[in-house]
Amino acid sequence: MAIETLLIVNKSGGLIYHRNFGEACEKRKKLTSNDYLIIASTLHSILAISGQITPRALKLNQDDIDYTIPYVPGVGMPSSDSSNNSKMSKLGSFKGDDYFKESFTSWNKSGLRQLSTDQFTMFVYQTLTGLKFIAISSSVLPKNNEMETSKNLNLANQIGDNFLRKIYCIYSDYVMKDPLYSLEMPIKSENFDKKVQEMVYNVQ
Amino acid sequence: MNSEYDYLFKLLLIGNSGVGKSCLLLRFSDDTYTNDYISTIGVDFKIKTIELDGKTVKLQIWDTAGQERFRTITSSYYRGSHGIIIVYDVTDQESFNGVKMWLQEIDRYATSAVLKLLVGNKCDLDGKRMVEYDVAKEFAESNNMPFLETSALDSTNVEEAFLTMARQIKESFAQQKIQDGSNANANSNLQNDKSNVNLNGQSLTNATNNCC
Repeated sequence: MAIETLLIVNKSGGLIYHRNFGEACEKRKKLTSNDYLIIASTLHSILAISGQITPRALKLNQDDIDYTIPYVPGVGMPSSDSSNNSKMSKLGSFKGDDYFKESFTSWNKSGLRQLSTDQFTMFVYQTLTGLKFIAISSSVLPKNNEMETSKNLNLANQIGDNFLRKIYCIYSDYVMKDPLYSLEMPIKSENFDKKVQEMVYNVQ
Repeated sequence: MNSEYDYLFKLLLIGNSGVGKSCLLLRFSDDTYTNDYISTIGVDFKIKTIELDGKTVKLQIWDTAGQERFRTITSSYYRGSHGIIIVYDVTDQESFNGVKMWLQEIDRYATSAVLKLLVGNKCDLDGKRMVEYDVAKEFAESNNMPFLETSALDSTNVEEAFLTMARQIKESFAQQKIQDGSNANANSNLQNDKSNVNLNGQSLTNATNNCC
């Protein structure tokens, strides 16, 4: 599972951050920034619509459903022996090597969480305030082994959620604390960029 | 790649079905016109990049469907929009009457600080005119919003409609920053007369859940 694209969509459906990584830079070269804006807003609409098609019965029994996502250790972190750069990574408010160490609740209770095709898999992490972190990775569907598919998807989904939640932590540290950042507008923080890139390359 | 624009503004186009919202947008974004009537499904997006005071601004215009049956997730379209353009057809009295309903929708779903603009489209069809300019102008003034008559066919006022809006949003942004700054310094809450929360609105859940 390699992260190819990361999108951050604000609560009103505007694209505020977008990056391609690795091979995807070449692969998606033909898409203009306007195309990405349209993709982001369309996803925003789809999320809202899919929230409405959730069966009513499911909504009524919502207390019985477990929305907890288990903590997967070390997602997007450098391998353990390279501790020489730890000084830098501990500067933010999320101290410790792994940002958080407990399972957490998914706020994306009725919207779209994952989309898988043979070509790519898309993960959506939604915060309580309506901010959406979207990662597009290489496909996690195993070739010619259908038994494994659902197990695989489940694990990939957990990794995806853990990864995007860490991006959210970085966002809180480097974007929300930037005094020059205006809310809901495109993110132009170099530090944020750098941190995100580190994390993405560690996932691969 | 990412940083080729400084601001992203969300504009919303609303109005009855068939008043020419999509045509107006097509004229503004691509400078073309089509006589065909293709109903918008859900929502359509057009993006135009403009320069304002040395900053690159992307105007993302959300062209909503006028037809009732597509109005299911309206609230998420209104959410966080910076400007709303209400369009009616000068040859169709019914569409002008509908403006009141659209204003109620705005009150219900959007923030009260949102900028509004009333646009009477198809002003090239002067022979078939049903809504007089003065009537609409008066109505717009009583509701504290600017008013323009446009024609997507001969492109009268189309650029003006969108650019006026963009400039106003940019200004209100700059003002807000100054206000934020002075508020923080003086630790005062003098700006509170412009409340963002509308306590008179109806419940959102009741209004939208009329489907089985």
